[in-house]
Amino acid sequence: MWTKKLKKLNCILALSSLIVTQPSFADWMDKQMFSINPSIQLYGPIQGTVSSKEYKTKILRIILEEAHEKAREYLQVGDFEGYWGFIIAALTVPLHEGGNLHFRKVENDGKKCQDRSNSGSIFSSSTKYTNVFNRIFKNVSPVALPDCNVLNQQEFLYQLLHGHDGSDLGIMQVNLYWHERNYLAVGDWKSVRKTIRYGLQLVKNGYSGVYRNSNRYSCVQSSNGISYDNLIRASWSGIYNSGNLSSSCRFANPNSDWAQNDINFKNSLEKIKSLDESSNRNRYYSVNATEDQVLGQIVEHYKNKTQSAAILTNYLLNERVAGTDQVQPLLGAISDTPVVTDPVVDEPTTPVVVPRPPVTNIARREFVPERVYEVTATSLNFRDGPGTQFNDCGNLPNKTEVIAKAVQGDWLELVEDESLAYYYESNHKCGSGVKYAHKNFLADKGPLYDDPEVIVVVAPLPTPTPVVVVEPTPVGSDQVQDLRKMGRAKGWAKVREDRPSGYTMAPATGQVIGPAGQELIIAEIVWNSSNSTHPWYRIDSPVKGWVYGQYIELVSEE
Amino acid sequence: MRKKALVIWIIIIAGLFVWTTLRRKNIDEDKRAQVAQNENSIPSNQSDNAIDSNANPFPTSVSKKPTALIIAEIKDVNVSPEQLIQKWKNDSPTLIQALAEDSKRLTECLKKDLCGEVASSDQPYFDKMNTPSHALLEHELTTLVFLQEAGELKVNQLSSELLMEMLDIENESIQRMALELKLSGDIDDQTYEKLLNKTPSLLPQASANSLSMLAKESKKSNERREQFLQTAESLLKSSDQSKAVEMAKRVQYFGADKIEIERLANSTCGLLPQNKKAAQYHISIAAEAVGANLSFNCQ
Repeated sequence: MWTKKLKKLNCILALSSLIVTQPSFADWMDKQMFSINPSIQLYGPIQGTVSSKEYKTKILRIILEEAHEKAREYLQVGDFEGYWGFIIAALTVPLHEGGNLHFRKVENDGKKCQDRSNSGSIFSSSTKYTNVFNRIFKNVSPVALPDCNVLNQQEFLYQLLHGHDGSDLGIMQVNLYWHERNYLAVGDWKSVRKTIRYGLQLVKNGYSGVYRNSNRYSCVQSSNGISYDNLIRASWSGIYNSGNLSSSCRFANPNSDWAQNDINFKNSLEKIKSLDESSNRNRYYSVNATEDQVLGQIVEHYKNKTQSAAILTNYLLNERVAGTDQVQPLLGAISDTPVVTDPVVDEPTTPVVVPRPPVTNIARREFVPERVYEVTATSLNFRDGPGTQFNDCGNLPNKTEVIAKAVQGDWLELVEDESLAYYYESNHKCGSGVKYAHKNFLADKGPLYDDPEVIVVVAPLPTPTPVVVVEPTPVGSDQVQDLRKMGRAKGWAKVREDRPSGYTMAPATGQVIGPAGQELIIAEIVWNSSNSTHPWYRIDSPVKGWVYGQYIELVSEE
Repeated sequence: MRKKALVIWIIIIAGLFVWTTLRRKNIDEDKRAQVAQNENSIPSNQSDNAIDSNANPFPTSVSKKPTALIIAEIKDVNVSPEQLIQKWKNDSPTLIQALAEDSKRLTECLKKDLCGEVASSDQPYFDKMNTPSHALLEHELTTLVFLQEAGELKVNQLSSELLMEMLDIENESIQRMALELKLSGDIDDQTYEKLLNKTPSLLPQASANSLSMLAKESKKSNERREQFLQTAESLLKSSDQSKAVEMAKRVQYFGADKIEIERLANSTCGLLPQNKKAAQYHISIAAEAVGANLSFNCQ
């Protein structure tokens, strides 16, 4: 990203072909690759280890999962246009930046390893890039990018995409100089998912920056409100390509120094927008049948501003793609024979009611067995529907235990038992159906029956596909039920909104856990980097948020 | 005559020899005494380590490094804040001093000229809010936040003025972490007011996070709480509507009661449709936790 694009190289290539023998695309690609020490752990997918269609399917899956995570804040509040706009932006950027390529595996014919790349001489005109290159890839143990004479004994090479001058890296073309500390140094370049996540955060910074202040950016305004095509272009022209929100409308200026960059990006966006046609999917984005259908419908939904995200949330919830969420070492020591198989298992009258996402389409995850939850709020409403627009039936005091049998978006479906019945307010209007409470204020205390053999079943609706969903159930990282552990605070510690990004600490919520001995429910454990001394814990009770592992001890495992 | 002169010269030379020998001996003794004195003045924990080598995995010489050498370690991109703290766990005051010194230098140079970072005419990319020097300062502040949470960093070890200066650097993480360090322990009314006054001018996430972190302090008096709510209302009406949405997301951390939440809800009417939708959603979810039922009177 950010510097000259690959397409510019095509132009250079075209010119040079007039003078010398025209190199093939494959020869050109060979020059855009660093060859990696095979003892380095890589987290795929890796092109060349599976069929092209499988590889693209895996990449698409990762992009959609990460994009959905970033765009959840729009969906959560019922902003479908904002949601679909970001999903399309997220599909466009990696295609535009790296042609959806990060790692590849190739047979070593003695020419594939580029001395210019691996020695760092590609940076000869820039001391600052040479210094970064040496700090990250050379002056480390083991050397991440050994000289080619070391690698030439290998039967296969594992390679990482770089830009034409080496300054940008991988599928998102992350710049080495600007992102050394928070991307490269923490090792995110070794993971396709982390690279996509890092790049999409930058896309989100640009997208959200313009979207939240759309009245300030004339280039995204249209007679119908916001032009989402232009919002996507703005998010790339601004933060992503120029590092500056105030350059977001650069694309609207045909005389800008970087007009060609913006036109190239527009072409990539048009390519993504054409994927509602199956012939175009075959041509540009050939993936497996299920993903092919989803991809087409995503584009349709974006174009039609469909007020539902069911097609994507159901796909993410109910389908799995092997090799996209698992991590394991790639290969043995550098002298080992490389592993040949794929190593990666890889709206209202006055007073106005708050607008809410429609509730006709429901995301449902059945709890089998039912699960016990504890109220963490001072006094939590329970309602006759999954949203604040439904009637308030009563208030559950702090620490009340309730039983939930399913989740619908952000709302838990409560079991009608004596405990719940006790808290009904007789003077409140309340329907006779199922009751709900917001999951943010309920801590999961585990299955109703303490049977270690029983696991939570994520059950799709019994209806035939497409399964309908509106509010998404979080994917991957938020599958609390499967990861739940008990812990204790070692003392007072701050609670944060998120885990760190690179080495940068996430905001403190102002809440704390403690004193020592306080029981905690842990929903997730994440290692920030291989240089970390403790993991980060996402706690679900007594408050929600992230706490550094130094201040928590695990007391049991289920 | 010649004999006399020769004897005098011999006496002078012999005298000089005796004098320089005696002087050298005195100097050597002074030096030895000084070295002995230095060795005796090694902090007690290091003296203990000399007895129990297992207690300190680092050689004594490490602790004697001048600050400049420690700063070189701090700058090493391949060393995480946690590793740095682990390495210096027996001499955290020295690490803190080095971090304080370098963060002061970075703050000054970032404010002066972005530490010399200049845009290149042949590159479109230049992020004046996230230069490598910003990233280094973020790294140093992260280390200090870790130390603070571990109880190693005392309130007076960082200059309060320096932390306030950091709030003028246009970088979300730097502003957030400087605030967090500034807010360690109880704060007096003057500091509270100063931070609250500064809050609206911070970047969106930092301004919202500032309120999350000040919420507990705001409850110490009615006057403080009123100032707090007025600032929250001003963010909801800010011309940068990112601030309104970011703040609304954090109302759940404000410990607000029904009346306060209703008051904030009424400040969302002037937002753009996409932001009104988001802000009203988050505020209504916070209302759920206090058993409130909101209506948004925007007409």
